[in-house]
Amino acid sequence: MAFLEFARGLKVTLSTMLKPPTTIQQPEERRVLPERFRGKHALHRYENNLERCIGCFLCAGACPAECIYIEAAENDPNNPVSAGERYARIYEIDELRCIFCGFCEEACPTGAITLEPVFEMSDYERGGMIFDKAILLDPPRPQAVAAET
Amino acid sequence: MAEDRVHVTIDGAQTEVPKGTILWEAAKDIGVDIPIFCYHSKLGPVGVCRMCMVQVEGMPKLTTACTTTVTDGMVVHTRSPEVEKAQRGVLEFLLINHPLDCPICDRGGECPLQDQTFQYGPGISRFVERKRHFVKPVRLGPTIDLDRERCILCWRCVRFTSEVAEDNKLILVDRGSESFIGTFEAEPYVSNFSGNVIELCPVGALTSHKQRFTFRPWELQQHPSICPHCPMGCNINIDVRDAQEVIRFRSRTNEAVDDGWLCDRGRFGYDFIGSPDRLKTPLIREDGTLRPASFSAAYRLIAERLQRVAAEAGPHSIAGIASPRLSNEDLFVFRRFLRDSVGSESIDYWPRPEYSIDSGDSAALQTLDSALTSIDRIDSAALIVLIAADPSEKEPVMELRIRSALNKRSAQLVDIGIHDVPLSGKASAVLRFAPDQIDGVLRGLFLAAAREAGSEEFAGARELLDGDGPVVLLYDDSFPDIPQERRRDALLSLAYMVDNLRERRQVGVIPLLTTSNEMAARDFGVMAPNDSGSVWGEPLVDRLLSGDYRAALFWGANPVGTVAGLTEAVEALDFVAVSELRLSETAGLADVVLPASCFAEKVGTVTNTCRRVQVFSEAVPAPGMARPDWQMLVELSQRWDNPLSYASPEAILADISGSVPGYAGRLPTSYRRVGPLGVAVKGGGVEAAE
Amino acid sequence: MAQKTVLFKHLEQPEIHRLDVYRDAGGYGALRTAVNDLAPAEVTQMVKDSGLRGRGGAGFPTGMKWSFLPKEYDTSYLVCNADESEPGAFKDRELMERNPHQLIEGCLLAAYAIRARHAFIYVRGEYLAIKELLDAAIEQARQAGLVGERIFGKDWGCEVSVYRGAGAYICGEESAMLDSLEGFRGFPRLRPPFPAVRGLYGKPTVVNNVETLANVPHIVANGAEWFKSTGTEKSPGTKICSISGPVNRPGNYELEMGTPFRYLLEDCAGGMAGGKSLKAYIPGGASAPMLPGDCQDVGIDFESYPAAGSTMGSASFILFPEDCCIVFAQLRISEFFSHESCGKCTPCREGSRWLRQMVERIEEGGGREEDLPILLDVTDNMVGKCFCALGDFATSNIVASIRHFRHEYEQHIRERRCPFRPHPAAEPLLQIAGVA
Repeated sequence: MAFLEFARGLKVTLSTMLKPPTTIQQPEERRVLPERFRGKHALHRYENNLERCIGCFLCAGACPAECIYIEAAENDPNNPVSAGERYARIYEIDELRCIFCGFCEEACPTGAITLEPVFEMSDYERGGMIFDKAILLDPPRPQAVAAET
Repeated sequence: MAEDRVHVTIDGAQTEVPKGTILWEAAKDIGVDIPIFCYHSKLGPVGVCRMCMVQVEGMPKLTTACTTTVTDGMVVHTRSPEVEKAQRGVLEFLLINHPLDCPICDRGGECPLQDQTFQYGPGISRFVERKRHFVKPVRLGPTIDLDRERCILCWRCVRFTSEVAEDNKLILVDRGSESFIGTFEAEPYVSNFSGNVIELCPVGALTSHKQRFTFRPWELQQHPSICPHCPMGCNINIDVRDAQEVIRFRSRTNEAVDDGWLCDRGRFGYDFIGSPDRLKTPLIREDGTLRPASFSAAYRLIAERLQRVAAEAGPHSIAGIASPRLSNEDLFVFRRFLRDSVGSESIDYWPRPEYSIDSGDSAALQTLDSALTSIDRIDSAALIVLIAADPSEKEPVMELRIRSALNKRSAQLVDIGIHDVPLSGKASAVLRFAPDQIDGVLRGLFLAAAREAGSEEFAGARELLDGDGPVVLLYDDSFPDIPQERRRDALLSLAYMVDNLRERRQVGVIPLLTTSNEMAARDFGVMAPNDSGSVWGEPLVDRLLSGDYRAALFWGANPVGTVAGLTEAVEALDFVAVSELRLSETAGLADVVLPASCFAEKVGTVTNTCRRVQVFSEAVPAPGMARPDWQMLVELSQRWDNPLSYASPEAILADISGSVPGYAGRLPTSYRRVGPLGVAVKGGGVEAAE
Repeated sequence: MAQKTVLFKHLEQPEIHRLDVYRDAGGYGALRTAVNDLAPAEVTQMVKDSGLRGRGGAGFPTGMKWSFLPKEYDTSYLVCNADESEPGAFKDRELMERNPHQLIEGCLLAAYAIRARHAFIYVRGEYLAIKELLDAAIEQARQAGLVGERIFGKDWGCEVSVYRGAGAYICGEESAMLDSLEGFRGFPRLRPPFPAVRGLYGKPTVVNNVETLANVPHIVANGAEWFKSTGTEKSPGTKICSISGPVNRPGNYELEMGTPFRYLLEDCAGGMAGGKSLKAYIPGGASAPMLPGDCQDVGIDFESYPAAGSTMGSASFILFPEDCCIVFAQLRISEFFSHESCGKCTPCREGSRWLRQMVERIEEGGGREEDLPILLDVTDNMVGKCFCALGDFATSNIVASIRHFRHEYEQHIRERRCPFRPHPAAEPLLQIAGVA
């Protein structure tokens, strides 16, 4: 009887021994994430480098975790930050509070915010996990800047 | 059924309304919602937006509910297919040139155009042409931003300035689809009442410059309250974000007080609440500078020093001066603390009228007090008389009520005063005199001898005063334009005038007081008779100057900032304690400063200029350790032999209701029962007028 | 039924604008009769009996209008609507230019009938010369004791003032005209109260067209029966018809009511110029729906044109020849109404602009299949839902042109261009509409 139990266990071992391992060597190896993976947020710009975000608070209103803080301000017409009259002077997401539901993306009327397939976010302090525009916002496109100047 | 009532059937529901009722109002009364943009109950029908189309049986075409008066037997359908098509059509028209920038519009979220489009409008637009464009935003004036693309040209703002405020500041410029709202020659829109157009605007065209892009409506919680800026006591909602930050004041309609309007001083005067210089802890003077301390240390010091002064010079050498902007509860406890705990009768408030009334003249005060009437009595007056008073300056919304009475109810106005005020233009008779002649003029209107010899100038005013119907007299008992030595005479002659008028007509008086809760300060004896037997004693502040006192408590009052020579007098006192919102001039001289919470940070009541007691509620937390004044006084009193024992402001309300003459029996003992619109107390004048 | 000269006496007596000539021809005789022998109510009754209908377009019985005034009043006003702004209409202009005293006498008679002591003639802003001419004529009449206090020595007197508008079509609408006359911007007023109850300066007011008032002296002088003997039963009297477009003799013609349009076109105006055929015509100014060119046997009166699907309006005929693009003509009409909308109510303000934009796009070749149903639905959202009749006017020709000439719209859309370009035949219309 005991042998039968042993053999049954060994069968599992032997049958999987030659299969390739399912674990991957993160970070040397990278896993392919699903297309609609919801990770770190990003704020986008238009082709002309104006920010898409207009500081409308709709993402903050939709957010079930209340992790988005915005302060809006009026654009200087001669040197606008965003398209339109209004922009987000302060835009902060507390990534520790965020539940990555994607409601902010759905609520956004300008397609300014998306959730990107990035999940490696860590810090030694909680404060560091409050991402502001410096972290979230796409860098300006160099060619658009060149076209402007 | 009386002859002046008619039956109307709206969507199958029968109702009976007074003859002449506008169909929209009749539908609203039975809960049938007819969408509107241009109509407003306070502005009357104009019929331009065409949103309120309804089908009336027997009429060939759809008709506008806002311009139709109901007739007996009228049968109305508000949801028929024709009506729904018309509503979709009008909304489509309104939206084709609308920028649809709801995400950045300050009105988005509380916008009638948004709401009604969701409810009645088409889901899609068929408009593919070029939209109409305007330069935007336009700074209309110091308070208002205008977005002409969002404007649906309902004329509410234009009608407000032409019919209610009567300053005709906003106009319609250009014609047809190119027309827009503007000011004459693009002059800035400066008015006492400009903020009202923000609330009237049914879209986001007129928005507040001060609050531009700072909030979204869905973040705000509303707290019913009372405007603290004048004794009119206009009802407001305090809109608060995150239970922390006061975002704006909005009007809250109370027909008996404000008629739904608010002045700019009230609407935009909220910065002091969240101001960074608010006191957050008690301060105690050590080595010449005020340093933060604990409440117990502050109380201990106040008690020790006051008790020492009382022992050396008697309790009456301790003066207590309160601010008339404190709540009823604060003022009542302040008086009780000084009288019952400290044992001092030296109580007063500041600022107050700077003259005294002897006990021999108390009949005059009683006359004026018994004729006190309610604000809405202005509406039914046949004659309104201003006596050296400028409502526009002191209580601006009173100006709107007077204008409404003059325009809608054919009342007449007599302006008796030193100089022109904004309302003078509406007066049927104007009587001007030199500042020191007020006594003679007011008596001269009635004295037979003076009447015969009286000059032509008197004729107009006299003729109107001799007429019939109820009279409302508005006066400013601080008499700012009259020389100080003539003010007492002015008050006495005013009482003489009331007595004379009363022989023939119903007379109501409305005093235009200076500070929000001044009426309660007087009612609660915070302006106590002093040892000389006066009814209104000499202002205590003046006696401080002559060195009659050894110690003083300033509860919210800041006379040092306004009275010359008071700095030295206060510095000479043995001990000064101050309770304040921020470090005022007076607080800067104090030995102990206590941090008080303001009206938006506590529950309480105020009494308005016509003795209507109204409730305000806690909207935001007080900064730091700041506490309500009543609470600090109760805590402080525990160090005396006769401590006060109130556990809550409602307990004080119950005590006021039980002990203050005139309030007793009229003022309910709980805030819930005082209700959102308040109650009138000690209505001697109200009853006398009836 | 043919031409008949009642109002156009100046055709027979070119000097009739002079007071002496006018009086020699019997002028001011009706006023003398009325003031001396008739009570005001009798004058009203006379006009009522004559069946005279308002010549401004709506055709409301004039005597009835006068009798709507309240029984008791201290002050009333008469206003003469001479704000002839309808594209295609120029009849009042000739009446005032050539025979001003006829109008002044009509005003005085009407004022007498309603016991008014002040009559206003509101001329359109562009009629500066006419204002001066009328002012001079009134001054002459005043010198002769015909205007002012104690006319013919009686207890009644009447002042006549000429007021020039500032160039707004909407001020032809009677309540907007009263606003304008009072010095405000012209906006139609909420009704009720009607002007007969609360009109100018809040007083009972009668507003009548120039041609209507010009008829009154003749009725008072000759009697109601005489007036009823011309025209049709329901539309008695004569009508001055303005005809414009590519005809040989455009101009004003006074015809008996009920005369067929064919007579006006062929016998009076000499037929179409250049031998072209008539594609369509508008019988009553730009606000009246157009009719196809073969509808020529319609009688010019208040009943026949509604039966034919249009309205006689002010009898201002605008003719479109065979080579005229109907869409382009409609664009000009829509531009006019969009430009002249006062902006008070939503459907007219926004709708007239939208209609103009859509017709413009179709004319420019950007039309889509779905545009015609949208055009018709937008007009449906305007008709009967605007504050005043002007909103309805802005839609009438859109509906009519699509009804009669849908194929032209479809051709524009199909070919993505205007098949008639360039537009020589539309030039006269451009000039008339003042939008060239």
